[in-house]
Amino acid sequence: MNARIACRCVVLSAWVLSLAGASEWTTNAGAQASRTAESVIPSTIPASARTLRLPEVPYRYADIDLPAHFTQPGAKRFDNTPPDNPVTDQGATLGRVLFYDTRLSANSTISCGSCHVQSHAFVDPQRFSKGFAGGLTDRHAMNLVNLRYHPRARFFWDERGGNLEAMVLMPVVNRLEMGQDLERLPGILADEPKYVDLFTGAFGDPAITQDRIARALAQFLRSLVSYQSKYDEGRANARVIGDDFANFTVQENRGKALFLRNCSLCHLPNQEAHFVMIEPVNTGLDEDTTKTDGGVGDITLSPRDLGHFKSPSLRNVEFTAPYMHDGRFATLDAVMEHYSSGGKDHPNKDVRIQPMHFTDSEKAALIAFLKTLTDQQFLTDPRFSDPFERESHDSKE
Amino acid sequence: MRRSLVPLLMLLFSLAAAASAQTPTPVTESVTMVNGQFMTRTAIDSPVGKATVDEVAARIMMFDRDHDGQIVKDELIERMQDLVTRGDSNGDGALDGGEIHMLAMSPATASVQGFPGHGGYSFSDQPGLSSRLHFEGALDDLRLASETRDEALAIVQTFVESHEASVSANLLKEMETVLTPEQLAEFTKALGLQSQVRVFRAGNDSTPMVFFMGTDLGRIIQKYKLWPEQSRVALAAIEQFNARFRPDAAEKSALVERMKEVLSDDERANFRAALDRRPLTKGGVAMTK
Repeated sequence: MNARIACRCVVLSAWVLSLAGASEWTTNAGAQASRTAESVIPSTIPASARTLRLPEVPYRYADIDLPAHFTQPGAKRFDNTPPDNPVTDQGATLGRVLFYDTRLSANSTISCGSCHVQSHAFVDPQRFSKGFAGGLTDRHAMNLVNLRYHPRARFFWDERGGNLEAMVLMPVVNRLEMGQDLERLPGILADEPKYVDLFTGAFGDPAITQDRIARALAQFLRSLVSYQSKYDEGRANARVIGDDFANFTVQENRGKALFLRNCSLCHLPNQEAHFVMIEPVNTGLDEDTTKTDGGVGDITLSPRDLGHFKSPSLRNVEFTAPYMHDGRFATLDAVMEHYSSGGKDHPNKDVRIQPMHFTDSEKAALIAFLKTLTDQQFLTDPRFSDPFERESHDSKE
Repeated sequence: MRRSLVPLLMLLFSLAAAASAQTPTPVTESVTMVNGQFMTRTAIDSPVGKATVDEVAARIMMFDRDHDGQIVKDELIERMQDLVTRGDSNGDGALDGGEIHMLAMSPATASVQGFPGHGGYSFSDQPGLSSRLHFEGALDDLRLASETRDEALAIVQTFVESHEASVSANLLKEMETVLTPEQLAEFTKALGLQSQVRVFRAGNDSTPMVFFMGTDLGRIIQKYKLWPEQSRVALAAIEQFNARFRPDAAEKSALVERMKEVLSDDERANFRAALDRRPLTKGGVAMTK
């Protein structure tokens, strides 16, 4: 077979794959990698050997078409994207691969995606997460929904992490969670040829640095935007948020009214897109000030911060159980009961946490409304999914 | 463009409030727009923690596993280990009680990018403020069919107007005994503002804002420089008025009872629960129906 014929075969194969919808690299780890139509990164751990499958044309992460309530000035100012690290298709693609690459843990057993599970809106369905060596965390993994729209740009339950570029590597080096050595990490990743293309695509040259790893991961996290829920559809077609939404049931509209009246001042502050709280608060989860998790106060040592915790987005809250920083509430009913009762008498309990005395039908309506924040597209979006596949598995995409 | 009217309007009201504080009646002090209402008083501001330095120190000393009175890095959870670096002033690699107290007295302030718009929380159920918006909002949240809602709303409005008129009449009766006719006329006018409500909508597609203009009746009495006994009687009457202006539990129950013909048992239970809920509000524009 001469070179011309070989070339035609490769082109034909790519065309056939494309017609079949198999637009990703599909070679098994053991196969000879062909850089024309296939790209392979075998896992460093034989037992979990996985194949990297990426689309030939990167998914679209930048400039997504957001609904109007996301682009209003009040909502736009929640965006914490720094000018020097905007989300790009290539950068977020690299971030996606890093997010799911087990080589970011010391023994190549877990990735970020091990504890932040897409189908659970990127929380761990377990109350506490298992680290690379089997140890358990003492807090529940926070959801990663719409991290881009946390205006204070501080992360973790205790806000100890700065903006995403600064915080993304903290779990990687944490001795319980991933235990990786950041000095060694660029070298570990450099062993994989595919990262040459990925880093070049994202940053213009193949150099792998801690800073670039952090920036790519931050881009991917900022691309995790949920905006296609039933609520979003309803809001887009309503004149004002207070009007009943045509696509809601009576119970959902009632839940919305109750939410706007009683919850929105904290959870939907001054705009209609981002269901996040601006500041960490003490919601009266515990009465004791010394034996229980001090949250922000454990970091700042400020008396006024004791027992304060950051609140994650309520988007997709239906799937982010268990709830609160320590996952103490298994269900939304339990959460509702907490707010209905007004919580415990911690000296720092926020004044807004008053007994609400919700009736059963009010609780049901509120939960029905919260479920309208579920975005199935987000939970199953291939752009956010694990790009590595085990050798024994067939293609999922 | 429409949106831009909102802060302008808020500014104008704030300026008007500031100006009116320096001029004679009606006295309108520290006007705050909360939950769509302009209020004459702000009950609370941003929540302030009440835990103490001692409690923070006790919390950190909980990690003293070997009970030697010092905290070394390994005794702390990894996320807290920077505390030792921050607070170890004598360089012995550990925190003692004194160093922990020093840290707690000069805590780290999180360096965050500025973001205005938080804080300024309040409740709109302060004494002397009309309950009309609270009650109508509670009814609105039931999302009743329009005919049922209209019937129920008429009952609520009649109830609130009748209640407020009765309480106001009692106050004026007391004031007749201590004020001159001119003073009484001025006081009556100011009292009329107590439940004045104005609705503003920046545009057809904007959420309506409801302004409530109230007055500080006590300051009016102080301005009259009455004799001590007259002043005592007047201020006591105002105190009584403020306490009675919002319906109490029994009166709320009476209202709910009146709605038996219009609302189901479940709806009445929900309505009553909403009436008992403190209406939390926030400085600035809030959600209204």
